[in-house]
Amino acid sequence: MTLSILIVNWNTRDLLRACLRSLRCYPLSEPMEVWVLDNASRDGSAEMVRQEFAEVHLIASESNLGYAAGNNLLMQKAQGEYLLLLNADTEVTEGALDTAVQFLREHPEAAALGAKLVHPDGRVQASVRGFPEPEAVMWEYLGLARLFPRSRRFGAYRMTWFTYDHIAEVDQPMGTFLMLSRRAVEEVGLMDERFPIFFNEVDWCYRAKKMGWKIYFHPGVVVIHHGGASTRQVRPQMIWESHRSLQKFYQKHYRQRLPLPIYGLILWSITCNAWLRTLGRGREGWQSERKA
Amino acid sequence: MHVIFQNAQAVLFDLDGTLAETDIDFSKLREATLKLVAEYGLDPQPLQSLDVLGAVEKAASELRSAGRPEQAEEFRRRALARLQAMEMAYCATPRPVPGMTDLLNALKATEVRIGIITRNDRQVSLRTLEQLQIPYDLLVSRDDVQKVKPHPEHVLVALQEWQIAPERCVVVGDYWMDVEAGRCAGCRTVGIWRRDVPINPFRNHPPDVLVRELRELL
Repeated sequence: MTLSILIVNWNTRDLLRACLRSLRCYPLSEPMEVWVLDNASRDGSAEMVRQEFAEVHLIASESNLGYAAGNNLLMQKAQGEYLLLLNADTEVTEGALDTAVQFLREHPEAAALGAKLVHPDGRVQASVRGFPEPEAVMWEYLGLARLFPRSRRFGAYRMTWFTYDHIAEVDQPMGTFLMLSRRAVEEVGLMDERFPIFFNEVDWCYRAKKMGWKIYFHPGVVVIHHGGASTRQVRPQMIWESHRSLQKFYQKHYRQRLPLPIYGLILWSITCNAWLRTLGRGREGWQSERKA
Repeated sequence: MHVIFQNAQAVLFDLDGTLAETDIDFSKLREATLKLVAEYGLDPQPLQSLDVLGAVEKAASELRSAGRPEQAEEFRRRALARLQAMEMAYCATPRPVPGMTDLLNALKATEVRIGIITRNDRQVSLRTLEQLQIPYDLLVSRDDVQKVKPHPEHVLVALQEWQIAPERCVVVGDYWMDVEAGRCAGCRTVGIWRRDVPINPFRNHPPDVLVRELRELL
């Protein structure tokens, strides 16, 4: 089995149908399998998969396991040499899967590959970021990233300077389409379930890079992304959850590395930012627009 | 002739319900299949909502996953043989769908190739085609593909055989699986929402053209 495609779904039946249809229309030219974990959807998603996609392996969970635990469950079931974490609100385009697999095969040093995500009308989405290093976080909160989007320094977190037209080594492609090599998963491990919805893929990429693996973006792997279909259903909670996850990310990876005052300042800034976002003073959460 | 056939080099038709009326009772086919599933110690409940062939493949896949590959093949063979026998009986006296002869003759007159793509067994299909004297150039039955409709393989096999581009081909059927297979292959699609079917079978898979009977395509 070359590729296992793993989809965690929550109440996005119609988008999931389009996603699975795209996999049927533009499959990998080698053996592949598709797994769907339905997180106790109330919109008939599981029934739709059963009736319309008999070839799909479906796990209909009776409770919402979350994104990370759901993907972990699927990763343990998957048989593929490569594992594609795919959001339900995407549609793959012709040749995308073959291009991605071929690239990973030719780059054994790569742990993961991200795709060029586009809106349904073809506009390119910002889909790669740097790691949320303290300096990058501060530039972001101080508004310098918005003032100087072409600056690699000030735009380090959101990579606002990135042009999405060339293959590049990156820190963290969006988990919307993230193809992992099984060898890397075996070495890096599964997702950390302390990040149930957000930052789980950031944490995974961070761990992989610390171990010496590389992570790439490939503009030839084009995927339509409808965007935020699941998290939009509970947006205020998701804003808080995304900020809490960023704090957990800091607790996990920076607590030992940063002087206590700096560490405390960053956590305080994250909390303030969460309040601002929730009160509607900001338009975007740290990652709330990135997850489906 | 309907504008959907403009510049078409080939038209692929589903058989049962689209060109031929038969007495196939899908609930009986499912019942027989699930009974066999239970004989192999599998729970038939999760397979209830699958189409019959989907249930066969899913059950065989479960047996393989359970480390019983030989039983999986045996189950698959027995299930398909049982389905073939039942289909033979149900399709013993097929009737032409109204408008079928006129439409096929009109298409043949324009030198368009006609193919039949069906999830039915090959022998059953051949007998139906012969009994109704349906003119056709190619039959792609479930025995001729690895993956049946809604997977596009039926269509792709025909296109490959004829060396025809998908945009020059039209797929016609009375169920969403026909439309799905055609669209995935890149063809134009026609859905026939039969008047005896109360709910639109294409509500989640809209075709390029939706008609209520074959005559509307003339």
